[in-house]
Amino acid sequence: MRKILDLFRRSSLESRMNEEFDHHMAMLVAEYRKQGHSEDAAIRRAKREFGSPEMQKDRHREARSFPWFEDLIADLRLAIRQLRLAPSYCAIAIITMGLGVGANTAIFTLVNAALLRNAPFPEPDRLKDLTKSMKGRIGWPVFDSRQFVEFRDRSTSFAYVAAMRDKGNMNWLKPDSAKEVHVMRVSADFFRALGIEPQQGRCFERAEEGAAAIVTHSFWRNRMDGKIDQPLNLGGQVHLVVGVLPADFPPTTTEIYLPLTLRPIQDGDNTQVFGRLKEGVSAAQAAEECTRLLHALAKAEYKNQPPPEMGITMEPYGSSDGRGFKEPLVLLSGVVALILLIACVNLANLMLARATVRGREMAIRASLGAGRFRLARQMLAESILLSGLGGVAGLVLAQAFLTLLVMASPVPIDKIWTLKMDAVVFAYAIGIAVLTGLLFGLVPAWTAGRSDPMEAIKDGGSKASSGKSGSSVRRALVIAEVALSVVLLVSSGVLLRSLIDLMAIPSGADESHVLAAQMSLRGDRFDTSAKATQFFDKGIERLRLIPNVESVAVTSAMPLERGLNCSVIVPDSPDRPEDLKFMNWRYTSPNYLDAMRVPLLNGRYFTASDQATAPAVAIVSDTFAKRYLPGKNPVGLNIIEHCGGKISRTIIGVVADVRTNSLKSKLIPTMYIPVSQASDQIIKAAHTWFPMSWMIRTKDAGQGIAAKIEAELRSLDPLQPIQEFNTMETFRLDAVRNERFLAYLVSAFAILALVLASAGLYGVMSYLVTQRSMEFAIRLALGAPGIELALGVLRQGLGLATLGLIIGGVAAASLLRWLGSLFPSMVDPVLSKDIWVYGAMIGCLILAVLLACLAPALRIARIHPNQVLRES
Amino acid sequence: MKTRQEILQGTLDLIVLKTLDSLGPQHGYGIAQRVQQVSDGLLFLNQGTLYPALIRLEQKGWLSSEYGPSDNNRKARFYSLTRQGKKQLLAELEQWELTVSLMSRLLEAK
Repeated sequence: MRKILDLFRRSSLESRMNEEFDHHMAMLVAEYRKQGHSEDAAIRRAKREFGSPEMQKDRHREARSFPWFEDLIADLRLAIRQLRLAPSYCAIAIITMGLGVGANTAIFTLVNAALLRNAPFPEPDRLKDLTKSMKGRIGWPVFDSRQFVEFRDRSTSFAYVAAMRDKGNMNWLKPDSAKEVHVMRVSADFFRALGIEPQQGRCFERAEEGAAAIVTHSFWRNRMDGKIDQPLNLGGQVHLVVGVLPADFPPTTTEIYLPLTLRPIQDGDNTQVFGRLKEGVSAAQAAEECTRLLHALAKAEYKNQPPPEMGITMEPYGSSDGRGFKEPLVLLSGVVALILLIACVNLANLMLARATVRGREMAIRASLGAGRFRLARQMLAESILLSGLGGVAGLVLAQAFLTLLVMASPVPIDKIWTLKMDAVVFAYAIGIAVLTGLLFGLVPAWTAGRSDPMEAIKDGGSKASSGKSGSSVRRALVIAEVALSVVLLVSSGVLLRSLIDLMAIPSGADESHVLAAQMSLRGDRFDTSAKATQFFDKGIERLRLIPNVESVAVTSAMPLERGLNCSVIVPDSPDRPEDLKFMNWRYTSPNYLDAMRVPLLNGRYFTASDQATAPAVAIVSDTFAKRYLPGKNPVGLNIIEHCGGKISRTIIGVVADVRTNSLKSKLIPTMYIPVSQASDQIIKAAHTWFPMSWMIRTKDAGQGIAAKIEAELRSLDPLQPIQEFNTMETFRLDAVRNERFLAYLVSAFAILALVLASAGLYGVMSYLVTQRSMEFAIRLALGAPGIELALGVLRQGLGLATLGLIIGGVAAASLLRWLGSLFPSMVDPVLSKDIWVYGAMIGCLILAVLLACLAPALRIARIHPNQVLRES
Repeated sequence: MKTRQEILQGTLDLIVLKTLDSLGPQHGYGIAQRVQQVSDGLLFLNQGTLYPALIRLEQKGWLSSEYGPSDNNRKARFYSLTRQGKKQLLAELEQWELTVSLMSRLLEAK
């Protein structure tokens, strides 16, 4: 207790010590005076007798109170004093650290929000997303209705199994206006599984048909004025609000939940399934059971058997929201970890250089009695102080990075998750900062503790030739740094190359000089086939007259856009002819496929005579024909379209495949029909969900054509605005937006790494040159040409870099192979294609290395031997 | 030149307590002088050892201190034994006797 009090009474104890020492000295001096010495001699003798007062005080300090705590404070105070003496060193270290920590914290904030944080529902650890996964790959949380029903009715592991799908926008038709609302269809047990009770009303029931709705609290309060009894007309169907969610229901984009009515059919993988595990059932048990059910179902009813290694895994609920992000986030986490490593290496280098410069100071302190441990601790205190400040800088930078990330992101990630830097993120940032400070502060601390005072003082801080101490560590650090940046540069290069390859995949149509004027035809003005056809015919007539226009057509979905997912029965199919089959549905004006120059493989294109009154026809894609009618000539066969209603159509032609909304996924069976022959129901659905496009091909680059198109269409129908103009290029960019985002982000980080590594190399090289300035001066004085010495330094730098390049290149190659197996959709390493990537990136790095070594090398040429030799 | 003796581990407290017991209130320098005198200059109390020890003993409540004038009229801090200190001295003396007799028996044993 007294000791603790002493901590606060420190200064009074300190002054008492001084008092006692002064008295003791005075008495000693008086004693020697009495013995007949002169005043001066007496003081001298007394001092010799007494010894170093500071050392005595030090001993005394250690005798009382908590030495470690006081020392810690003393260390930190000294560290602050020391660091204030070297502001530029400090600034560089803090910025370096801040960049590393900031990048990591920003990405970690995303990881935390998307992958780590528990879903905000009761007992979230029992809530699991079901995902289909192949061995060692990340799962996809999508099932068809048949599979969901199987899990719901047969599995015994879950208290509830629920499903959701069709997340999107709908038109909320009010008597006087229409508003866009965000809806999602959910199965009856959705809210029960989540453990959420509606604040008013009830959950959906199993038998519920489409006419009910449950709304969020904010929708109910703000947009329905707190009245539950008004029916909602959503795109023509009237829904009665049966429940209102509690106010604390986690906010998502969805405002209205509609019941999901399911028929147990193989309707394509578009249903997300999750479940609440029964008490005491493990996720592994549930996964095993579901895997068994999946395969049993497939064996009994499915033609296309899933691969035997496909299984069902249980992921935390909500992780499927981040499913497109898990891979990029894992990748990005790795990338920023490498950045942090490079930053750390730089920091260690900086501290090491500083420790060597301060070697003499350290030696003097050692010879004055400072213990080796004490000195090491002092260095450590400095590095921890620095990294603590770096951590704070990192938090600030992370906020900035995060803002940039959200801005650059192709999807509104800040709407999908609540991105906040919570306590976990805060702890993470400070944690990595201090941990790295400790780790990399140990290197210089260790060398400081090891140095021999005699040697250091003799050397006087500037050796005649470069010594060994510390420099091997330093070289290793440079090599590591170069290797790390090679890994990052090559990885970003391969990502970019994969992206370029992806961008170069042909869509299947002729994209040159094509412009799409897109319109949203929501509402009742164009909700029948007849109304739409009339509008399109008139529009095409007008647009065709614009000079320089080669062809004009209309479609519900352009190449690289998604169409409607629908079903079809193919009676002539050898594979379960009576079953509904999945296909992508698009309406077109008769001339669309011709105008888009989609190659005709068989039969004919539509003609103007394929009108509403003529026999119903369809054109199918090559994949459609090959998958559903293998070995048969599709032309002349009948199929039954199941999109809303049933329509029997005759296939009149087969066209080449055109890529839909993803460039890299499998080709999807596609069916085109003339818009005049579409059912009113599906026209309405198509116009509700997607904008349609006027496709215009011009004879040349089509300068200024957009304004003319807009003028024509406005004069045709002043009430129908054009939403936007798109070229095929923009569709393409849109189709690869996630890949683009990732590739650009990784490239940005790679550039950051390159800058950090060059700065590190520059620091080390200029340090080495300074260390050897005496040697260079002597050699210059003896007549060595400066240029040769400079080249020597360049060679030394390049030598270090080359080793790093080789290690980094090998590491990058194996890392990429591993990443390629982990994230096949993101990284696609093909060594033969990537060889130039490696070359370019390594060339880039060598250039940076040369630049970093150039300045120190040139400094040699400016050395004046006389001056250097005289100075030392 | 006589070689100075290092003080035996753990005996510093006893030396200080005993000295103050026989001298009465004394300042640090006086204690150091006295020890050197009595030991014929063989035992030298380092200032860096002595003063911390004095403070420590005071913290334990065995010594009290107050200012008083020293020989040549300087202000100095005089230390004196407290009652607790006297008790401690007796206890330590007893302990010392025990140690000495133990040591001599051990060393004389053939």
